[in-house]
Amino acid sequence: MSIQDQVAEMQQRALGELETASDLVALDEWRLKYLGKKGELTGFLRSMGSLPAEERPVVGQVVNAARKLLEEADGLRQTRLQAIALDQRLAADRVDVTLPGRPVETGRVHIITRTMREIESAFKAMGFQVAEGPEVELDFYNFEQLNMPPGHPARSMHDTFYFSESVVLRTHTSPNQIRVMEKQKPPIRVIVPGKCYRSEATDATHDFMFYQVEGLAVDRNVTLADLRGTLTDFARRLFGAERKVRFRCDYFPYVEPGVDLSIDCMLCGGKGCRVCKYSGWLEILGAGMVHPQVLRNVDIDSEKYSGFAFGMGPSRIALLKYGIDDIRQFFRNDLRFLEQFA
Amino acid sequence: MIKVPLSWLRDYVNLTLSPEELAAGLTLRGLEVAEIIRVGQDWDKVVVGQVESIQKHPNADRLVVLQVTDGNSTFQVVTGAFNLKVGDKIPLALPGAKLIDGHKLVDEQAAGKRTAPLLESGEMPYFTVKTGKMRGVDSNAVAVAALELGISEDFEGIVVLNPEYPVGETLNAVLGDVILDIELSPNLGRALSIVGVAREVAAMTGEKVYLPGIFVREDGPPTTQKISVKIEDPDLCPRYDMMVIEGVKIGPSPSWMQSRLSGAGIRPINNIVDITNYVMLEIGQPLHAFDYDDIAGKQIIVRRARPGEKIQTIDHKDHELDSEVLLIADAERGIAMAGVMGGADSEVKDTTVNVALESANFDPANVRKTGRGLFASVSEAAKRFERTVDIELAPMGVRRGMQLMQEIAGGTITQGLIDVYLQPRSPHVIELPLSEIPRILGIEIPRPEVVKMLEALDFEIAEMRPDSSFQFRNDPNQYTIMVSETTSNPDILMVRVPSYRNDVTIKADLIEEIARQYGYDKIPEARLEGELPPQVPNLPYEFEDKLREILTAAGLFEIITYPLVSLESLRNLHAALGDTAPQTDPGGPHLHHLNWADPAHLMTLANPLSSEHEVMRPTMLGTTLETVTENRHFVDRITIFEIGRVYLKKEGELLPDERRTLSLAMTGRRVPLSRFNPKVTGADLIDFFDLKGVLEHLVERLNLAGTEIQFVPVAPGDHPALHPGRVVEIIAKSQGKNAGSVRLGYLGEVHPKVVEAFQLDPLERIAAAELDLELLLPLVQRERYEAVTRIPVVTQDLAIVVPDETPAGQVQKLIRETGGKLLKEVTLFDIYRGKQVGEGKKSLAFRLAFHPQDKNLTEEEVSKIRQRIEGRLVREVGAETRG
Ligand SMILES: [Zn+2]
Repeated sequence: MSIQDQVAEMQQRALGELETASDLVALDEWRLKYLGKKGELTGFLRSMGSLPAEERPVVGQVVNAARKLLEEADGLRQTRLQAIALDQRLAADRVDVTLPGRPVETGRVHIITRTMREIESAFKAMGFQVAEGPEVELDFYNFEQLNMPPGHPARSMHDTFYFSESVVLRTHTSPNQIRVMEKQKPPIRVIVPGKCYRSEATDATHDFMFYQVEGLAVDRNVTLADLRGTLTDFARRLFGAERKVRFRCDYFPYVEPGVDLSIDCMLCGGKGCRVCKYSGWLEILGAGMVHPQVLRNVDIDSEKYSGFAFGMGPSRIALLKYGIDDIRQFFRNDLRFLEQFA
Repeated sequence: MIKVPLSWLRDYVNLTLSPEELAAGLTLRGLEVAEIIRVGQDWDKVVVGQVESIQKHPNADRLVVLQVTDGNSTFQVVTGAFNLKVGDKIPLALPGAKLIDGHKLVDEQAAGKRTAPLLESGEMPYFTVKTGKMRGVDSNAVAVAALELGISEDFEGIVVLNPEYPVGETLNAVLGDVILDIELSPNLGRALSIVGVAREVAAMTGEKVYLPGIFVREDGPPTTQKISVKIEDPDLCPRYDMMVIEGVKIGPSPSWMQSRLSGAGIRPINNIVDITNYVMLEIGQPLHAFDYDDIAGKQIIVRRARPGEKIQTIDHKDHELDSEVLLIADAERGIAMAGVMGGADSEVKDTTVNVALESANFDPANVRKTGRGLFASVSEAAKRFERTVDIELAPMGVRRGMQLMQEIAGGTITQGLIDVYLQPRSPHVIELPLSEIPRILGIEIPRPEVVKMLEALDFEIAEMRPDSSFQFRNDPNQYTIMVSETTSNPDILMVRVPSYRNDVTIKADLIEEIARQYGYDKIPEARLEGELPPQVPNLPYEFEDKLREILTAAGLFEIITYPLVSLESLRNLHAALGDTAPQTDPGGPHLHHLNWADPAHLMTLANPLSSEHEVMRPTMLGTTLETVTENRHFVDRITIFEIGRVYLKKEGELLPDERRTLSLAMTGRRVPLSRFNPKVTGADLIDFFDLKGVLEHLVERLNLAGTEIQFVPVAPGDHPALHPGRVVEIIAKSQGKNAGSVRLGYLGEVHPKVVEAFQLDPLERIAAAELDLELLLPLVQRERYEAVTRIPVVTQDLAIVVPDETPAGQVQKLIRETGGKLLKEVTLFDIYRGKQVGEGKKSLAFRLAFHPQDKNLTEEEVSKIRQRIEGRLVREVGAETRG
C-alpha cells in the first residue's frame, strides 16, 4: 500500500473516530493520537526520510492536506462538544429559584433620630444651624430668664424634676434660646434638638422623657408673618403640601404674641377622631415672637431687634406621621419595633 | 378649664354665631375650646308636663298616683316622690324615652361600686320607659328626677320646671343647652367667668357686653356696727370687702341656678353657698360666706398664721400652718385660709341665719403656694386668685352676692360696704407707637382701625390736647396724665388698660391684642429675609451621624434609652464584685470612676417619680444591657448601640459634665437562622471578637491619622462589669502636636454575674463596649487622599510558631512595625495548636500584602523585608519560622 493510500486510510479512520469522541477528554485523546507530536500524522512525516527525494514533496502535500482536514474537523468537533458541555453544566446548575436568598444583616437609625434629621434638614435649608445645650439645667435658664420667676402660674404647666432648688432636668429646649443669645448676637438662626423631661405619669401619649427641637431667629425686622411663612413651609414639607395649617393665639411666657400651629388631622381628614381629640386639628408646635424681656435679659435691644422662637416634639411628630399608638414604644427599643423604620 | 353654658352666656352678650363658629373663633383667639357638649340631645320623648291631680296609692303608702297632661292627653304616673303639688310643671318621660337608671346608680353606690359624684362615676346605666303596673296601679309615663336626666345628683324629688315653660314642649327645647368646655392658659384668668368669656365673644363679633344689673336694698343697720375688718398684711391682701345679711333662710337654691351651676361643673349645695359660686362663675370674683354668728368678737383680721397654728377646713381636714399661710381670723382663731378654703367651724350650715360675705383680693403667688402646698386639688377660688383677680371687682362681688341672697334666701342687708383698700391702683397706661405693628406683625393697619380694635377690647385711647397732655374719654375720674416728649409723635397711641386685663403690661401685649382682633388666620405668610449668620459646622453633632452611618452599615440598631436610671441597675453592674468595693479611680480621663453606684458621684433627683428613674447615669452600660434584656425573649440576635450622654457630677459645680458617649452590645446568633445556617441549636454565637471587629472597622473609617488605637489587655478585676479574661481598654496613642495616650473606654464580654444580675442567662456571651466620644472626636482628622497605584499587589504568607502565651496582637504589631511603608495589610488567617507545633506552642499564619508605590516589586525586595520581619520575631518573641 502506498503511503498516499495509508494516509487516506488513516484519515478515514480518524474522521470515523472523531465522530465517536463524545466529550472533550476523548477529543484530547483523539488529537494526541492523530495530530500530536507522537501522533500518526507526524509518524508519516518521519517515515518520509526513507522515500526517494522526488516522492517526498508529493507525500508532504498529502500529509499536510490530511492535517488541515483533520484540524478543521477537530475544530468543528470541539465547538460542538463545548456547546454540549456548557448545556450540560447549565442543566446541572439548575436551582430552585423560588428558594429565599441569603439574609442580609443591617442596622437602623432610631426612628426619633430620623425624624429629628427630617426636621433639621427642613430648617437647615433656610439657614438655621444646629446647637446643643445641657439636659441638667439651671432653674435660671429653664424658667427665670424665660419670664417664669418662682411662683409664676405657667410653671404649673411644667411638671419639673429637681436635683436641688436651682438645678432641674430641663422641661423644654427653650433655655437654649438664652444660652445661644448669651453667646451670639443677631442675626441668629439656630435650632436646638435634645431630650427634655417632665415629671408626669406615663401613658400612651405621655412619657417623662421626650425630644424637642427648639428654633430661634433674631434679626432686624423679623415679624409674625415671617414666623407664619417659615413654619407653614416647614409643616407642609414634613407632612405634605396638601396639609391645611391653622395658626392661632396661644400663650407661652417667653413669647408675645404667642402662637400655636396645627395641621388638619391626616388620620380623619379633619372630621374628628380619637387622635385629634375630635377637633380635626393636630397641634404640632408652639411658637411666638421672642418676648422683649427675654431679649433684654441677654442684652439685645428689643427696640431694634425682634425674633421668633418655636418648639416642637419629634416624638409627637413621629407618632402622627407613622400612626404609632403608644409613645412609650420609642424608648422601649424593641428591635421588632425599630426595624420597621427603614 | 371653664365650662360655659351658652344659655347663660346669652345673658351678657348676643350670640350671633353657631356654636361651631363660636368655638373656632374663640380657639383662634387663644381660648381653646376643647369640646362642645350638647346637653339634652338624648332627651328623646321627654316633654313639659303639668300635674293635674295627686292621689294616694291604694296599695302603698310610699307611692302616689299623679295625673299629668302633656297638653293633648293625660298620663297616669305612679311615683315615690312627694315634692309635687297640683299645677307644677315637670319633665314627663313618655314610653320609649331613655333615662339614666337612678336606682341602679344608687344601688351600685351602696355596693361600693361607684363613688360620688355619681354622674362622674363612669359609664351611665340607662333604662327605657314602658307602660306597666306599680303595685297594681297602671303607670303610663315617668315623672323625672334630675339624676335621671344627668343634670344634677338629685334623685329624691321630681324636677319642678319654670312655670313659664309651655306644656307639651320638648324638654330639650326648654332645658337643652350647648356647653363650651374651654381650656385656659395661665394668662387667661380674666376668662375664668361667664362675663369674661362674654367680653371675648363681644370683641370677636362686635356685639355689646351687658353686665348684670345690681341693685342692693340696704335697710339693715350700718355694716360697721355689725363687724370690723383689719388687714395686717396688705402685701398679701391688698383689698378686703364685706357686708352682712341677717335673717336668711337656708335651703336649696332655685332650679335655674342649680342647673347653671351643674352645667358649669359645680355641684349645688345650698342657696348661700350656691350664690357664692354663682357670682364667682358669673363675674370671676370668688366670694366666701361666713356664718356671722360664729365670728368671735365680730372682727375680721387678715393676718399671717402663727407658726403651728391649726385650722380645720370645710373638707374636714386638719392643717398645721406656718407663717407663709395667710389667714382670715376673728378675735380668737383662723376661720379661713385666705383665697384657698374656708374653715369648718364658721361655714354656712342649715341653722345659719346671718351671713357675713367676703369679697377680697389676695396675692396670687401666696395663694398658689398655700393651695398647692396643702391641698391635692386646687379649689375653684384658688384657681382664680392664682391667676390674679381684678382688684376693682371686689365691691361688685359683694353687692351681687348680697342682691342674690336677699332675692333667694330673704333677709336684711346691712348699710354700706366695708371696703379696705389701702393703696388703690392707678390705671395702667401704655405708649404704643404704630410703627410697632408692621415691625412685629409684618402688616400695616391704619390708625383708625387700630383704635377701633383696641376699643372693642375695652382699651381706652387718649385724645391729645394742645398742651401735649392726654385725657381719656369715658373716664369718670377725669384724670389727666402728662406724657414723655416722645409722645408728641402723632403716631403714638396712649392706651389705658382696663383693670381686668392685668395680663397686658407692655406694648408687645397690645400687639398681640391687635393680632387677635385682626385675626391670626389673616396674618400673611412671609419668608425670612436679611443676612444669614455665619454658617459654621457643628462638628460633634455631625460626628454622631458619621458614627450612626458606620454602625448601622455594620448591622447594629440604634437605641435611645432613658438616662434616668435606678440605683439598683447601677449596683447590678457591680454584681461580680461581691463585698469588695469597686475601684474608684483607674486613672485617665474616661469614666473618672468605675464606682458607679456611689451616690457621691451621682446626680440624684430630689423628686423622682419612682426609684426606677432616680439618678442620671454615669455609664451607659446599664441602659444598654437593659435593652438586651428587653429584647432577649423576642429575637435571637441583638446588635445595638446608643449615642447618648453620661452625667458626671463635678466637684463644686451645680451642673454635671455631660459627656457624649457611645455604648454598644452584641449577643446571640452570629448569622441568622436560614437554610444557609441551618443550626437551630448550637449555632455560632456572637462573642468578644464580633464587637472588636466592629470597633476596628469603626476606627478604620474614622480617619484617625496620627493616632493609633490599641486594644490593651487589662489586669483582671480592673473593670468591675466585664469578664476578666475577655476585656481590653481602648487606648488612643497620638503622635505629633497632641502626643500622648488616652483611654477612650473599654471593650469586653460582660461578666457572667453581671449578665445574671440583668436577668439574662449567665451562659450567654454578651459583648459590650463604651467609648467616650468627647475624647475620640478631637482625634478625627480631615480626610486625606492617598494615592493608589495600578502596580500589582504582592502577597506572601508567613507562618511562625510562638509560645502559646504570646499575644497575637504583639506579633502582629511587630510585623507591622518592621514591614515598613510597603506593607499595607497584615491579616492573621490561621491559628493552630497541636502535636505538629509542640506542647505549649501555637502556629500563627499571616498574609502580608505589599503595595508597591512606583515600580514593580521584585521577589528579592520582598524577601528582604520578610527576612527582616522574621529576624525580629525570632529575637523578640522567640518565634520559629516555618516558611
Ligand atoms: Zn383626627
